[in-house]
Amino acid sequence: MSTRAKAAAILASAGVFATVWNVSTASSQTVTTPATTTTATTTTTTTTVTATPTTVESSTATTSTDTGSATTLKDGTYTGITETHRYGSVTVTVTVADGQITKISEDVVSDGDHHSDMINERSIPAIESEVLAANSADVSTISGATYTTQAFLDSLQSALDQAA
Amino acid sequence: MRALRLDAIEVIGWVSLAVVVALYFADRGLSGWTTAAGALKNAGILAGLVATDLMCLTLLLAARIPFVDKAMGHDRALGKHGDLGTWVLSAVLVHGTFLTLAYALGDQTPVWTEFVDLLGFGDYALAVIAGALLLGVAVTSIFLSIKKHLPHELWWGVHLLTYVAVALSIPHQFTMSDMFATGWARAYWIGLYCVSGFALLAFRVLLPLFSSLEHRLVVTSVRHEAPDCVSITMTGKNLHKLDAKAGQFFHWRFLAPGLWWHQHPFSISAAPNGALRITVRSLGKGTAQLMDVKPGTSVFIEGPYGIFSDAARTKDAVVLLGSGVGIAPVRAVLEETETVPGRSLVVLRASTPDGLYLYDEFAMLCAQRGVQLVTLIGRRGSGWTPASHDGLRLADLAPWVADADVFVCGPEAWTDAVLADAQAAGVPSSQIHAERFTW
Repeated sequence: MSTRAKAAAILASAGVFATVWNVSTASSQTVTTPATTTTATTTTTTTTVTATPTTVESSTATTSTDTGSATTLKDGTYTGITETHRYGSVTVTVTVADGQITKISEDVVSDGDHHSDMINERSIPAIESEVLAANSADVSTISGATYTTQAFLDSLQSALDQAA
Repeated sequence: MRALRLDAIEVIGWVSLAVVVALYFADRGLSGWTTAAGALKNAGILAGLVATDLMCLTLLLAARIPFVDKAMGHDRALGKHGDLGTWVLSAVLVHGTFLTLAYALGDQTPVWTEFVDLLGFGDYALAVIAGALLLGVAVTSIFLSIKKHLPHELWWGVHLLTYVAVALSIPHQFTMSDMFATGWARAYWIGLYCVSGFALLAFRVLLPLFSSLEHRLVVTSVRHEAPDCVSITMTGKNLHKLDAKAGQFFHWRFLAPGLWWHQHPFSISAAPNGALRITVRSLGKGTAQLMDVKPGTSVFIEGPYGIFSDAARTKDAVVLLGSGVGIAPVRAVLEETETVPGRSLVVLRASTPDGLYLYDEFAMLCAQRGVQLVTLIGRRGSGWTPASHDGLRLADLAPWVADADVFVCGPEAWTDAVLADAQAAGVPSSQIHAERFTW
């Protein structure tokens, strides 16, 4: 590859990254980020797919740490990445106040199977109360609902990473 | 100009990779790498994105897009097509194994159980079949030892299964992931497939078909140059619209019993003045049948392709070297390119005098134009010259070669040896023009 081509490729790729990053962070600004200090809740459970891909940390956040129980959580509302599993996907939004998880809501997409809907209905409230009790994602999955609850915990963890 | 086109193509290729990596980060961000299952999952997803992007680039390289042909020549484009193909296979294998492992780890189940479970999910099963088909294509194409033993049409049939593999792999990309559910990512992904498919359809199928129907080529004469060599001349309507240059090649399909179901690439062996002529040697089953082509036979064509022509000239001096099947395009270029007496040389290499077909035409053209003609006949030596002339170099034959365009066409190993000699003699790569006829 000639020098000119190498330079053009590097510049163009950098431009692509910057553009995609800006577009995706801009479209997720409707969800409150750590920078704003509101405690307003955002998403409620719906059965539609999340409209925009959710992004992760702002420039001040570090890479994901382990369980959130050891570190203090910053106040705010955070949405985790959408975790897809075999029977659908889960996107968790968590609200932290005074270092405690006070509210959890999630966007659950089911594959349409009645069986999946039943599992979602049963397991989501259960895992929510476990998380609230432990104040972290460091809880075990619900048996019989492994995929759903594991995806839930993964999404929750990525949300809590933003609060670290 | 050619360099600029080549640069543009390489930049587009790399930027397309940057786009898929950017799509990954836009959708999944930086998280998930801290656990084994998470890291495997992320890596698997990335590999899948890269695989599709490289697959589309592979298809585009084989689509015979005129811009690509003018930039590097169809032969080189196919070479890169093959190189990228191996990367596609690797990426697909990484994608499949890493994600299955990740699901197994996440569910705490043995990998085999997980795999069997996942097969119940329809689109996953299709993707697995796609992967298996791709593996079959790769094994028959990448390993030349296997490819050599397959009849060409069988190899071609297997290779076309790539289209089936691509089609079967598309559903799972949209149903087993949220990444392409909506928005720019979805538009881009669909667009990527559409552009690739459109290019293939337009330039590989429709354009050649319309061209063949418009020009309606018919064989007008068949002349035996040697017992195993014929020159086939064809005429048609509006041939000037093909804009073929001497030295370019077409894919030729003769519509006669036994001949219609295979096509062959041959360079035209004379300047395209109202007629197209190819000179064919009987080297295999297919070409042996071409010895018996009758005048009046209709011909379907695909082309013209290739940058081995006067259009590639950069200097006033020129050296043309041809051997075996490469003699035909060299003969064509000689007819159409400008030559300066004293600074133009033609070298023909053959094992026996019989291999110097079209010699009379060469002798006449060279005598008329003051071009030096050298024939090197004999068994192979250590380089590109016969054993009887071992140690003879290009610079000995043409001391001014570093200031000349060097055109080379012939068997692969011989061409490589000539190119090595040319580079050693100081000929810059911008002045070296080689065409290779590997499948």
